[in-house]
Amino acid sequence: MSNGQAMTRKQLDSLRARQLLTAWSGPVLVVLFFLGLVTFMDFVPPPSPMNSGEVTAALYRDHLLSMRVGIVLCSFAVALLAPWGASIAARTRRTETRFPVFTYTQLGCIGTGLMVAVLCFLIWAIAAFRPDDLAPETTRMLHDLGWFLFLFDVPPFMVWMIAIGLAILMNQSGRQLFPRWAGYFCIWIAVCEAPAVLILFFKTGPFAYNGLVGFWLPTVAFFAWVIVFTWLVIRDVNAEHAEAVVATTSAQPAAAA
Amino acid sequence: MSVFGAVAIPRRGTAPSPPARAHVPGEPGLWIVLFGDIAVFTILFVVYLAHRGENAELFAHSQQALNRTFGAVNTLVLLSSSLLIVLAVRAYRSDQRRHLTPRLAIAGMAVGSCFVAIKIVEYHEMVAAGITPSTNEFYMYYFVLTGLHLFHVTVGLIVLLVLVGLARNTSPTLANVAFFEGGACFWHMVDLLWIIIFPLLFLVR
Repeated sequence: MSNGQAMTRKQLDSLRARQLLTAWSGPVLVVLFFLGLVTFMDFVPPPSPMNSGEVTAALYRDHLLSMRVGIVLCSFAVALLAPWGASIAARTRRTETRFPVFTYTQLGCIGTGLMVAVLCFLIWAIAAFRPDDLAPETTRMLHDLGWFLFLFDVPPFMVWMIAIGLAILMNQSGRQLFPRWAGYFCIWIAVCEAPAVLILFFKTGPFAYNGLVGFWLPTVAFFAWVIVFTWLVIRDVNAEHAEAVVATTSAQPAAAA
Repeated sequence: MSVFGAVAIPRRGTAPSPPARAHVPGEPGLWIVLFGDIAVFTILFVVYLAHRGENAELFAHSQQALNRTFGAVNTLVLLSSSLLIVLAVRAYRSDQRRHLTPRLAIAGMAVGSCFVAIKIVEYHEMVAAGITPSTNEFYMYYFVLTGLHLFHVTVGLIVLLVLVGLARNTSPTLANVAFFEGGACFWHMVDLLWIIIFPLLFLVR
């Protein structure tokens, strides 16, 4: 939709390109993150919270280079939350012309979520900086701190998801904003993130930070959410672009499509 | 109250009052949340049962400290609350009995709130007896499963509160009716989950 003003084909293409660029940062984020956390850091499945300081320090000491490379990859990966989040927030903004409260909520949560995610890898980076010099318990503390930044602070992410969900479900603007099931999907994913706070209470079992409910459920749900919403954004951007192109070409029959 | 919807609902076309062919209660998307939630709890139940199998004695022994009366009463509480909400939905759909809806919905909410009160007493009793989630594996599952469920009950009560507001509207739109049905379905799901959790934690031998 071009706000009523006729746009040239070039402008339309650029509009699509910038939206696709931000949307595709989602899958790039997922791939980089997977490469960093799984392949290089070897943190999936996560090491047990029951590990002694000595065992934890060895995780860093014995694979120092690949640990560091993985941390760097992940640090770049999480920064992509900003453009990816913007690709959704901008579409929400269009439906909230007067009081864009859900858009602002999303922006706030993207900022804090990104900050927390960057900090997570920064802390692990410090653990991997001089593990030989540190007391093992200190390395373990940094290691735990990283996992808590990774999992425990789900609330801003949940609020982010719920803001998108409500923006979809309460949309009365007449402008299209994702199918309604996507709104319910957001709310369900937010519910799946919630049990991550349980990692504070347990060191073994499904609710610990290496457990099914402590780690796997929130993490898999989050990445599934990124993939599904990337697909939704790309689909809508392309559909709108095609529609707009038809509209311009029918208005100016001279311009070939 | 014109919360949620009105844009997408009408395209379904058919009136929601007669149980027409292939009528989805609420709206189709809502069932992502309902089935999704049930799926997550199912995973938890499987994990619990697997660990129970590994440690049958400890689980059976620890189970005896639970207050089965509280559990049973809470089951009745949720079932009666669900029934009241069913009646509220039926009243809301009918032009003649719509005026009864707010009362039925408020009654359903009031009965549902008893669940929270009883649960708090139950938790208090256990903590007073020195039992916490870290006491042993069984109590970890007990507190986490009932805690997550209690979180759902709280969300459900908020949904019912919205329904009470909606019920005051004497000439609801199709979207209102769909939202009312959807909210009621969520409440029934909360009930259903408890009906599984109660025997799993309190009764299974």
